[in-house]
Amino acid sequence: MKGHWVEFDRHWRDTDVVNCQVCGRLIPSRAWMFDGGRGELRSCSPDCEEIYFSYVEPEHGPKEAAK
Amino acid sequence: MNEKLELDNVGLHVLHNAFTNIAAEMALVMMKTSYSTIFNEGLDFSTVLLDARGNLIAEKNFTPSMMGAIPNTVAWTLEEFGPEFFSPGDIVVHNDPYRGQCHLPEHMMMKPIFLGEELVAFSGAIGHVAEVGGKAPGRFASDATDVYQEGLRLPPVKLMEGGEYAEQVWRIVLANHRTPVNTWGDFHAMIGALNVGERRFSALAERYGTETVVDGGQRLIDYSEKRLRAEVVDLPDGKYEAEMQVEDDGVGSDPFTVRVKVVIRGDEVIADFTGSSPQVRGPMNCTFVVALSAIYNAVFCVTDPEALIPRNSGCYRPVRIIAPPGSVVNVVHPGPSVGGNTDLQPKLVDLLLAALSQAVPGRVAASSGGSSSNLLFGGTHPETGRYYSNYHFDGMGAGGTNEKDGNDAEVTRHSNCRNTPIEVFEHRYPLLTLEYGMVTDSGGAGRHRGGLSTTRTMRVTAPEITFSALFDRSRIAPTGLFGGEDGLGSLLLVKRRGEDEFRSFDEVFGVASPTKFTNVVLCEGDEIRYRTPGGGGFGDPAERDPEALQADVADGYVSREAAGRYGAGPGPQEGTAR
Repeated sequence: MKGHWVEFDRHWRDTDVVNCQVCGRLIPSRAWMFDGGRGELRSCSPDCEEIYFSYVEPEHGPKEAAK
Repeated sequence: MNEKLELDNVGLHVLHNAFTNIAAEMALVMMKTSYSTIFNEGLDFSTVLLDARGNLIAEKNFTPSMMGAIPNTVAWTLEEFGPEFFSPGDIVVHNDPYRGQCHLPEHMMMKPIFLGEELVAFSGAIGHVAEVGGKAPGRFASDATDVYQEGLRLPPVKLMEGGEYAEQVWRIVLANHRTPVNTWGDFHAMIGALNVGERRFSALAERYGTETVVDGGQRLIDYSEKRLRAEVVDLPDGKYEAEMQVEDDGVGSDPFTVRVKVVIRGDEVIADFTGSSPQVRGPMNCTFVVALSAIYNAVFCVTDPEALIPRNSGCYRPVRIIAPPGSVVNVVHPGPSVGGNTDLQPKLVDLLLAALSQAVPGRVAASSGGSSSNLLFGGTHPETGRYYSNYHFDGMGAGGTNEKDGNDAEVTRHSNCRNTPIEVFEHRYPLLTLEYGMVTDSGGAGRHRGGLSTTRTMRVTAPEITFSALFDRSRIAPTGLFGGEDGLGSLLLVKRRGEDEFRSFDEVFGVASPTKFTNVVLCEGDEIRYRTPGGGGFGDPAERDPEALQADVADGYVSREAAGRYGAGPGPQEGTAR
């Protein structure tokens, strides 16, 4: 895997939640970021980088980068 | 001195039985001590043991709809706050649908189990709390357009801290639920279950040693993963697609679409919901963990229907999901989701089985009724003067399978819940049951017919009652499979006092949907009548065993007229009218 972990720096008053761009899972505190072909994607784990390149990207094309 | 337990196959079996017995004892505590019928009669809860990272070790899972939520709720709480958040004697509660819960009514409580200073496990209880505030008594606002109308949302917060009441949190909860006495009792039933789980787990560790028990839990998880992967390997690799329409979202009358592609590759399964409709305005959206529960349910149905593999987190590892955020299978804030759990989830299981029917046609079922047929009501009880509220569901027809007819009058396939006996129901609530039975011809014809649905007629015995409903499959019937016919759809009617005929709620009250509405006021003497959906048939009806058809006609399950749909008909023996 080529990605890296990024810890969220969030205050407790921040009630937003973040979802994985690959599988949709909640990302509570840290994201696995990797280059998905059109920029960096925010995912929940290295497993999602694996499934992205082995299934999602070939099946649906590359995803847009995380905002 | 600990008792020696080798972690060989025999030792693991001993531990597995010990863990599951603890979970079962926890469930008994909830059943015996809770206040609400949804727990002590309906059994709409599950009790579990989890490891220190939130992985499921053992369960008494009355409700498979909760499978996705149970491990993720604890794991994500740990991930958000860290293990240092938990101290001995704490109990954390959480019903946030965007943080791992099924929908607002489902509350997960988790209690850390410490041995010495080490966090070694969690006891957990998840249950459908009968009243959580919001715009509708019984907290099923079927026309809600955001989560705030559905009730009180709790992110992970401590109800108990070091064994003491977190009084400020309790005050907020009890002030926002319509029936705080029930909440008090039901929450304490859950707390009691957690305490029993903690005590029994600690006693097990005392007996065999902490390391043996903790290590044994991990080995059981690995064992289950290995077993389930071996089952998945036996499924034919491929991509299997299916699509369904859901009739409406409770707010508008337009249908929406759910699409799935089930990919079997080697020893893993991927359920890809890409292409499903964006999340809808009404509460028919489901949360990520609800979609996850549905795929677990479908995979277990086709790989291990007898539950021979210990159900723990190892069983979940070979199953992966792609549920786009902001779609009907993964609602994002502030979308409502209360009906997604009860009424979209069972249809997701149907959809997934329809996709898997292309891979393993002999191991799937036709569509089930697919609706929990939720009835909610509340008001001031004329005999007690106290506010009451209730969530009620009834059985529907299950889909026929390759082996047998669908089960009759079974509460949805994503739950193992029970109906509430009429005697208990009438004792608690001002509704008199006039008729209750199964519906002739409601199961789709087939080589194996769909299960029969149920019908009930009730009369209001209080001056007034506030009534809400969330039924589905009234316009889009449960589908048959491999030539089997569709089951009969649902129906919900009302007869005002002094009138002769039952009519639909949209006709009488002008609500947008005839089966999804909130806060209709009924008066003493008014009657409601409903019919839940029947199951779809499996296989060509002409291939049905003539003796089975004859028995169906004799029992009143199939009318003589409908028996003609089976080709040859039931033969010379007369059917008995019900």
